[in-house]
Amino acid sequence: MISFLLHLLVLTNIYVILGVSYNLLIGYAGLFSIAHAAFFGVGAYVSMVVALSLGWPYLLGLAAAVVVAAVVSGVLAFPALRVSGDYLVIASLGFQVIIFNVFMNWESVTGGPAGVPGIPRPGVLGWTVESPLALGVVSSVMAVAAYLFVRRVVSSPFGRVLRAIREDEVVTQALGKNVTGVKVVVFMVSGGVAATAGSLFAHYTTYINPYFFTLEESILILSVVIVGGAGNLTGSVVGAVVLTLLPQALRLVELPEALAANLRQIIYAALLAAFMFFRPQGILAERTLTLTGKD
Amino acid sequence: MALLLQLLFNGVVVGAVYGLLAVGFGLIFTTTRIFHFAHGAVYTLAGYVVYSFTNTLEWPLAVAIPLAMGICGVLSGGIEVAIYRPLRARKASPLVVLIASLSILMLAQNLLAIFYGNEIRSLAGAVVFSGFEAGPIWVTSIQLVTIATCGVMFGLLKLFLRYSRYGKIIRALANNYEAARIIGADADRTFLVTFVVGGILVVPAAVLVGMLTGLKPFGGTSAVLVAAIAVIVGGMGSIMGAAPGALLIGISENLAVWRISTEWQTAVAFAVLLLFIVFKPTGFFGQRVRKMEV
Repeated sequence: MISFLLHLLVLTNIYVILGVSYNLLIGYAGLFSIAHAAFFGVGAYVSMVVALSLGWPYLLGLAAAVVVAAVVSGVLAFPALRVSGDYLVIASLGFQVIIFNVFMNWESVTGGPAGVPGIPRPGVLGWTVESPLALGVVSSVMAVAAYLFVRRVVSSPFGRVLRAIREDEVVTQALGKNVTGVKVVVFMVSGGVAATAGSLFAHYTTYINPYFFTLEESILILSVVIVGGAGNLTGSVVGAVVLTLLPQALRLVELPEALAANLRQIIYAALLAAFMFFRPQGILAERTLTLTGKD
Repeated sequence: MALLLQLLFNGVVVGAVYGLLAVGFGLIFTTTRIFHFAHGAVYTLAGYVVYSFTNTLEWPLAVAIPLAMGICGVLSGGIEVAIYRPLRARKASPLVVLIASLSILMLAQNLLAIFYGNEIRSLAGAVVFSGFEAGPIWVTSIQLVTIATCGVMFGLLKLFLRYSRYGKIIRALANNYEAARIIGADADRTFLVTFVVGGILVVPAAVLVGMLTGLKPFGGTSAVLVAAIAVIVGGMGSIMGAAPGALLIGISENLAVWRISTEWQTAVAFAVLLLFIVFKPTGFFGQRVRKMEV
């Protein structure tokens, strides 16, 4: 029972990291991209390759994951510089599908659809994080670090420029801010932080395959931010807790695995739709402005 | 050379089906400015409705298809009335509408997966399609039927848009929303008509895909994405422009097989899209994207 609770804790922590990093992009910068699972996946795969193929220590893998995911995320910024709104949604979905295809088909590196087992547990300075309790603590440390880091970013002058771009790009540009540069940087930061969740996930489950990083996963991360409240970091933590714990209710009834997976998706979808109707600003709304009634 | 021609022809067939989907999606988008992801839900349902009629109830296709068209038209219109209209009344932002639409798509596909299972079901049953050699390439009957059906549907849509009362209002709203409202266009009713027409248009596409490759409960997501790409490549704001956009995607997907391998087919469609967005965001026939609005 305790180890199950600790498992839920690690899962929640992973979604906290994904939620706060994604919130930075869609909530604060207003860049509506739906491809966060791709960066989650890039983090997981890079970390796996560094650990298994190169045999380097965990922290180097984590660092490599962050760097590669930041660069890949920076590439997605290019379509985002040209278009926004609905176009960006489609461009990012396309990006998500391409990355998924890379995971599936670049078999020599990613292991293809069968995935890669036997990823070692994270080790720090000769100490291997093995017990459920230690994993819970380490993942919590990473989640808190990600939260504080993103909090620092959004409350900095850089964060103010992000919100200014969301409200009015032209005015921000007229004020002499480098809108293009800021957009590229925010994509890179968001992708880089998401990669730490990917690295944690790969070394926690010790097995990854492409199906963990699908479009559906991106939509789940979107739900975490929307349900919690876009533009509110504490909201993303709440969203991560709600969306990790809610499907656990399904465990109370005995269901075949395939059916349970579909039901989980249905719960997420219904929740998302309900929030769009009754509370589009999420559980915890951003203090100053809400999503409703504006472009 | 023969292989290249064959792939080109296969690309045209696939592109024609994508075109049907894309034109419906584009019709709805240009008129209502709603990014209607749930179009994929109606499309997926269409295939399974026809499957239930022909395989479970053993009705002929000639009965199943018109019935499915009715059901999908009503369903598509129902989504407009039950989801989009209330959201419009609340002045929800386009992104709120988009997320709502996306969740309808997920909801519908997972429900269908529960009812029909995750395995691929073919509408063709045990029928093997006959084929013949046309010069260097191999042509099957279903491929010819596909091209003919798509041609007829495009023609009908074109006539509807040009001559019918609602077709004219749809074009007016798509061209200039505010001006059309000022001269008395009833937006709510026209939107409803648009969604019904879009819903009817998915049925032939779903049936053809069901025969060519089979039905999958989650096929709607990639279908609606391809439709959206075709609309962007064709140019937003041009209703029929989506058709050549779809053709281009179908052909590039198939030509990709020539040089790369089949697994990368899907990625190629999206790569085409990203290239268009970076280098020519207006597409083939679109109006200039206005970046600044005062």
